[in-house]
Amino acid sequence: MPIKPAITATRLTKKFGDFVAVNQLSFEIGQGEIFGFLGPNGSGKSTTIRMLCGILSPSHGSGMVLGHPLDQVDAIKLSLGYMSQKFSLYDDLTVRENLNFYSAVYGVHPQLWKKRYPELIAMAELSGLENTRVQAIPGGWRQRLALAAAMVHNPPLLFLDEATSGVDPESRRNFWELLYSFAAQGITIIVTTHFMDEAEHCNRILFIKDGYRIGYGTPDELKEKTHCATMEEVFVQLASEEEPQK
Amino acid sequence: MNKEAKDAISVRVDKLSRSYGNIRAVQNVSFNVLSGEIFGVVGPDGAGKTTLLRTLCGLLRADSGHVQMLGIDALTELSRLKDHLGYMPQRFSLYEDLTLRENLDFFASIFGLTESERLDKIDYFLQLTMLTAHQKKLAGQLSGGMKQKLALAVNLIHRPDILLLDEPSTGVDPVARKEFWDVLREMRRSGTTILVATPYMEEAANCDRLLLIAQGQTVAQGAREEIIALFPFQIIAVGCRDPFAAKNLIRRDIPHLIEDVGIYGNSLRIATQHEDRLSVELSRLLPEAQPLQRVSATIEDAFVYLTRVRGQENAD
Repeated sequence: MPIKPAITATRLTKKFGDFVAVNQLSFEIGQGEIFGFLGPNGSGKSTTIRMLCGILSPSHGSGMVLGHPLDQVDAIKLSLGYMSQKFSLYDDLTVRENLNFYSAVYGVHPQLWKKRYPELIAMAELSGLENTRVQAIPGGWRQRLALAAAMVHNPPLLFLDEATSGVDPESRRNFWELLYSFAAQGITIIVTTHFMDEAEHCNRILFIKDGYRIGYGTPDELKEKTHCATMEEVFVQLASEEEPQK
Repeated sequence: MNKEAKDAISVRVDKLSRSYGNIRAVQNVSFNVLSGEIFGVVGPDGAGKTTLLRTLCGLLRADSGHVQMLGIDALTELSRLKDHLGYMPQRFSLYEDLTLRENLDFFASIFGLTESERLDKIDYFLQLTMLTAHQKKLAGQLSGGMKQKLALAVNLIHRPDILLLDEPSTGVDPVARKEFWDVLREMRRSGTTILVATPYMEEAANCDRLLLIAQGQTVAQGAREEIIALFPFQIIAVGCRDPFAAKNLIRRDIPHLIEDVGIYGNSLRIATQHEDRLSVELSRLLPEAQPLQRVSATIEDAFVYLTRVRGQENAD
């Protein structure tokens, strides 16, 4: 477990009316860690992530994201990048236009952008494609462009919401190589996925069901604890346990 | 099903091609699906899976090639196959403002089932998909996993001999996915031939035989173990404290001993032809590392290797 926490959550709880979506959830995510959120549909994963992003405020409990309490919404938003499964790119704009657009959305200073833009193009291996419309580039490149778009403001924290599926295996391996290199630079990466070979890529995992924490540790620790050989089996076993303990 | 039917070929695809303008979506693809097996068409987004399935069920015309299903020419005599074929597209439309039972009843009547047949079949498929308790809910209220199971039940209600499924498990969690595959296995047991397209290499484990496809072309076909056997290297896993630094060290110092090295969570995964020399070198380079472990190659390793080889052949 890395020394310095990037995120801490202490008894984080979210109620919608009588429904408790997230129930006294506590966890820590270290700086530079690749951390996976797993759980069945409707388990409270998204609600937790929305609280960490400052989109939803917790009903009880507290959390710190990169030194900011959860109610410092603006500071949190500036320090995180978000990439979802449906890469939010404009198909009829070029690679360059897409990145320029996102740099404007995130308010990146033009002087800084001059320096940042070529870094992103190099990072995502998009040179030569800068003036190509997004609709004409293959899936793997599009995925890296979406990642670059999420990082125009050089965020120390990255949320990847089912962002790693569907592209060809070679591109996916390259994509994970990139994520590991970010992590090595100290960027904290949070991943949600329904595919358990992706979960194996994470350093540690938080497993949520019915709003409760029912698993927390490295993939190997979780496998050992549940006596399962694969994360797929861990998932099915944890998700089918009747009463999650508090 | 009788014995002869068991090894019979249900779907015979011969040199099928289909282009959109100058994009060659499916190029010269041939394969056979045996009666009563689960056959996977596995490849990334954009590989041509959807075009292939649409061509098989007559939604798209082939540019060239032949397709036979149950001995009938599917490209010219599709109407004779309609009652025998089920096709579940990626986004199957259910009536969200009807209940589960009403959806099933509606599709059953479209397929011309009599009222007593309908009752029987609907009860059977509700039970099989474990949706009986939810039958009075509106389809719009269901979770993604349940919707997929309902869509599957709807497509099975006329008891097709051949079922084509296009990415049925996208966006569904592992528990729902397992239940979905359980239903498919049950249908296989009763003799249904199932052809399922998926972008997830992991799902190959659920299929009897596979067609791996990339950029419209066949990468490999056969049973999963046969395809994995085409991967010619040994894979070694090494747990270490800083896999990123270790990977760079290995790439710098002993590139000649490895084919590939990647990080996998808290360990390195190394493909090699020189296991013994590698293990000596690794104990020198990474004294803190955990003992080496031999791990099995995966279908993804084979896919990456075979597409690379083909890319090199094409470049030559």
